Amino acid sequence: MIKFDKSLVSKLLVFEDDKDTQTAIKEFCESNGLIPLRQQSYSAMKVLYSNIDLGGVLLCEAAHDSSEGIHNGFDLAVRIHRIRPELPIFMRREDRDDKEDLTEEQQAAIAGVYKLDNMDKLLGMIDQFLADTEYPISLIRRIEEVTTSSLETTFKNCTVKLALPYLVKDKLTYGDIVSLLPVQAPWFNGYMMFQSEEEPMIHMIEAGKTSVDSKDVDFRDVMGLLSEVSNMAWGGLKTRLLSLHPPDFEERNLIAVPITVNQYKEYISFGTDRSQLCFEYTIYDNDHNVEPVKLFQKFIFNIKWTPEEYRAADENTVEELVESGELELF
Amino acid sequence: MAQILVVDDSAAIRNEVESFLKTNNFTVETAVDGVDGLNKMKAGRDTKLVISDVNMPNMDGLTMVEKIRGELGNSGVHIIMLTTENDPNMKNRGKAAGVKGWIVKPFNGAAALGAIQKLVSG
Repeated sequence: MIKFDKSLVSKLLVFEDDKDTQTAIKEFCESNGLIPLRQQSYSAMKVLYSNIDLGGVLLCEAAHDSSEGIHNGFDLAVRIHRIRPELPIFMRREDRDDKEDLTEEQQAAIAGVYKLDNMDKLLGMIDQFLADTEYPISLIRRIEEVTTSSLETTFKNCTVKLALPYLVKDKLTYGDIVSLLPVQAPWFNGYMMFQSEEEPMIHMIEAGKTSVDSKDVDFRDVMGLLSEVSNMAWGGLKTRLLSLHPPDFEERNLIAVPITVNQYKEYISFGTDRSQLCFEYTIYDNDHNVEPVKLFQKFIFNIKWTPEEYRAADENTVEELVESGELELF
Repeated sequence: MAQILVVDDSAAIRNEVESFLKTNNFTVETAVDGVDGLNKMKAGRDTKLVISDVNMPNMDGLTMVEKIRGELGNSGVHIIMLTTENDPNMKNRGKAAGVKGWIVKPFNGAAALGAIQKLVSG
């Protein structure tokens, strides 16, 4: 279980009309270092398009957005997911606490469901999916956008799908290939790691889905491709973060800690117990000739991580929305 | 004699740029890092244009450019950086070394073609 750092409170956008439910959610949030923001006018889209620093969304089956012609919580979840795919959506249900009766699209949009009489389940889901408790959502969005774009450039005529970001504390690696790139900005210093499997990547290269020569492909080609993906993702992210930098910031890698690897146990340690920020990308061949490739991207800020400074540099507009009446603090 | 030298440690990028340039009737040579690039420049002093990555093992692209201008005394070759870097300090360093252009990856050949043709023919 991840312990919330109270200095890093996460904001949840709440779609609930029922007063008793609002009170229960308010008490739940207060106990767990979360800030509930209640949608004032059921005009959700303006808030969601505004790029405010939200950590997730709580809604119920009856939630709606009249201004968008959305009359139930399931359709609202699907719409929110399209606009802000990085935000976990938790749905309160009346009669059941599973998603089995929902459509595939609704299941993909909703991170988890809970009932009001089992808030522990909601807490467990928040622990699992609310990456914003440790990592600002605007940073998460930047990473997702830049990496997706890098993968779409690298894998031609393919579709890149992204699962919800999540946090892990374990040090196990996925697959059989790994890239590690030191990453540094004023607010963090650590590593970005990509992990994947060799064989499906080889098939992608052999099918001509990349710029790598498709003849006589071996593991070296795969490692080269993984290296290029890492370079492009970090290069793009650096560019996106540049506008937030103090002008005099210079990268310096004066501090280093040993990274230890046990290949047999598939274990890698960066010498920190801080949660790793994880993203899972799946690359689908649009021609359906090659099996999908899964790529896991992990950020390990083992040397420096000052999210409060990042948040200060990244303008937060939630106060403006509260002032304008679009949002209400509970 | 190659008109254009492409320097990048990524085989995927080298292939992509080389293939695009050959399709557009340029003669192309490739190098895998700054050391390799510098050696190829020593051998091929008639190269008109170098397209180089910045972050490479053994020798980075900007150091290679500085050595081409300094050690080799080659002030005539045009140089374009093709990189994921967008840092103004790096760009300034490149500019000071006589870099003519700075393209942020991914490589968009169609957009760069006009400039490449101009530099190679100039």
